Amino acid sequence: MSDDSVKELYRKWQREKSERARQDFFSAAWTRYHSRLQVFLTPWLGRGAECEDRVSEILLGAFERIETYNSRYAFSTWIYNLARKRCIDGLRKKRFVTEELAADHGGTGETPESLYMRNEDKRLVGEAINRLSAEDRELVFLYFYEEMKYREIAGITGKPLGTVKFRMSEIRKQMKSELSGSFV
Amino acid sequence: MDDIKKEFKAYFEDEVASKHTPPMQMPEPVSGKKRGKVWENLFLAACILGSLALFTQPSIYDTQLRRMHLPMNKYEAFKEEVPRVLFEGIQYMKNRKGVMND
Repeated sequence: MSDDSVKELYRKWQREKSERARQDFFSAAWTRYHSRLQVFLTPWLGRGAECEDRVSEILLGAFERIETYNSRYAFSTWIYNLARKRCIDGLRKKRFVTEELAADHGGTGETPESLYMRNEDKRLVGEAINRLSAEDRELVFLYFYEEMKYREIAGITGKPLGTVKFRMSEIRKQMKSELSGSFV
Repeated sequence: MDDIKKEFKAYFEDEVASKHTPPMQMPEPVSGKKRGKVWENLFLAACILGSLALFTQPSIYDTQLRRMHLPMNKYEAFKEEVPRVLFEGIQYMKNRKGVMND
């Protein structure tokens, strides 16, 4: 199920106004974005079961505000933007400091995802990603995994377009030097 | 650089695939409730403010009524009627909200 398919289901729901179409849309959005948001929000939520629960809350909260989504734009942009804001707002309410979490995230030892590594290259990539700050990691996720454009990433993260471009260029350089010995 | 791009994508694909997606609880249908609630809340607030004004500043209310040059009997009837209407308005809106919340 692609992002366009989710958007199409949303449009269908808006046209038909039926309960069935509504259920189809929410189910599709839930299935597509629950696991993606868990990965996207890892820098803020960690990797435990709490992360899964929190993402469920965030998604349901976003669905309650579905009237703010404009289907002329990508659904992914809307959902990532809203989820990110809700997550960070939630953390602020709990008096967490994002910067501290980001600094803590520069992991040095073993991480759960290493369990899923199938080969050495992936292990190295995982380590390189874990060394990134929370903010750089979300750029990398949106750019490499979701294959979003800089403009969309800027919209989601609330950063100026120039900053996103600059950070991505820096991350690329950093990755190139860190991973140059392996497969570049 | 293409290799890095592929490896990054593969890494995130693995991570996403490793996450468990719990069954969804369908969110409540969005109805016209919210739109209705705005004016209801405004009306309720106006009634409460009106009542407060009557109780705390009776002289203002009295002066305004006198300016209307009403006959004394109508003035007295009106003066008694307004607080009752406000009170009933508040009761009605509170009951309505209670029913909607149920």
